[in-house]
Amino acid sequence: MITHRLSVLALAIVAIPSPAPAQVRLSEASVISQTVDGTVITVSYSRPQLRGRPPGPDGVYHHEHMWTPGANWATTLEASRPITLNGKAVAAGKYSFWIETSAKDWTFHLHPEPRLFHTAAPKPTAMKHSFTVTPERAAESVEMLTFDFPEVRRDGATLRFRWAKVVVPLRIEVEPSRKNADMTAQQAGPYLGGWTIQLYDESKNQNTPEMKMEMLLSGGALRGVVDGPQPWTMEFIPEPDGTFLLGFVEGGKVVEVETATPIVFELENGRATRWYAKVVKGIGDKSWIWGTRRQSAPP
Amino acid sequence: MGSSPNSRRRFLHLLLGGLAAAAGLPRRALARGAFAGPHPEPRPGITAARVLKAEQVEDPKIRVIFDKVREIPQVVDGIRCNCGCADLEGFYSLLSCYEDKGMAQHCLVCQGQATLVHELHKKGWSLNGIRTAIDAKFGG
Repeated sequence: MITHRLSVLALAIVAIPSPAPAQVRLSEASVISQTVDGTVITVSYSRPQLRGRPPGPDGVYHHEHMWTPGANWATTLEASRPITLNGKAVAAGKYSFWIETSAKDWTFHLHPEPRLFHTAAPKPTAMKHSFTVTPERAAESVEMLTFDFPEVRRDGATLRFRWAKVVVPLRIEVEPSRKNADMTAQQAGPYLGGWTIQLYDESKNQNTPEMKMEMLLSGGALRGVVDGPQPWTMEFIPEPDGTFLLGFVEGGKVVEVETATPIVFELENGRATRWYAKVVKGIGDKSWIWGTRRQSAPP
Repeated sequence: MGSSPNSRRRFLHLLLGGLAAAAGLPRRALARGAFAGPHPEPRPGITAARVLKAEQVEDPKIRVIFDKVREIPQVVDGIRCNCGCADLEGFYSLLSCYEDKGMAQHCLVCQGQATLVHELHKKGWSLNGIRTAIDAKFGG
């Protein structure tokens, strides 16, 4: 009996899973990602630190030497859609990221094979894309090699590399997520004309006063202009399923699209008579904007 | 795709006459068509005295538009014409296109703008609202 219990105990001890292998790294892994108008840009890298080494050439990197801005596996840059990087057209995909430095400037390279160790630097002739930059000098030193996106625009972003006092901003531009508007007069006809609109003011738990809106067709785009205290313009962007997304227009361009609550139009005899934003679970229990036909569409 | 409560708050902010900073543009620029060029202020006392008379306009369909302009010169004078004539010497506003030689007779943009201005004015729109609508449709 005792032998049996000891056997069971021994078995249990053997069966206890051993601790996970040690995973601490001198240069820990990091990922930074930024979405710009639907394009996702991701940099994956390991972050070396200066640790008292001289920053710059003959310290943490060497001139005339190909190195990856990171450690361990080569730093990668991935774009979900085509981008331009410092003016270079870069197809969507994942690339390993490399740098050649000289006293005068730095050349950045993208190689089509993303899975390369930092010691397996490809030759310059094997790179897919290359471009030269002049690094800037910052007042403050950064201990850890860092990538970030300090600026995000409607049509792009700035990817910034920093280590010690070296700063290299890289300009990224993305393709617009939306094709040019191409609604015909016939397609727009049912929606054109005068409307009354209201919004639901969540902060006051009440509806706004009614306002006049005129639906117009402009260059293939269906636009609603509202004559409120501050006149403004929104664009009704058609979706494949027959709903519309509402875009906020500034300077003649759509700068923000409300994607969570599509707009539904109700039609009678082929003419739109009412529209409203869908009620979506988790956002609210009431439509936040709606319109009612005001009068006949203009001839 | 995620939710965008900020866009809904932005809409509300504008509607309730909130700070123009919510739209990222100065109030004056918003009211005057920031990307199409500023709209002029209607000249005090402006009339339709120099607008072409009906008998001076050959095409009856165009004559109707000239009639509309003649009804509301003080509104039309507050609108910038986007056909390019605004940059010509002597042209002050959309009203100018209908005066003297009446170049609007031959310009679809001038005609379209005047038609929309008249329509929205009859619907009780503010001048700034009409300007915004003109920019939305003809701003390009």
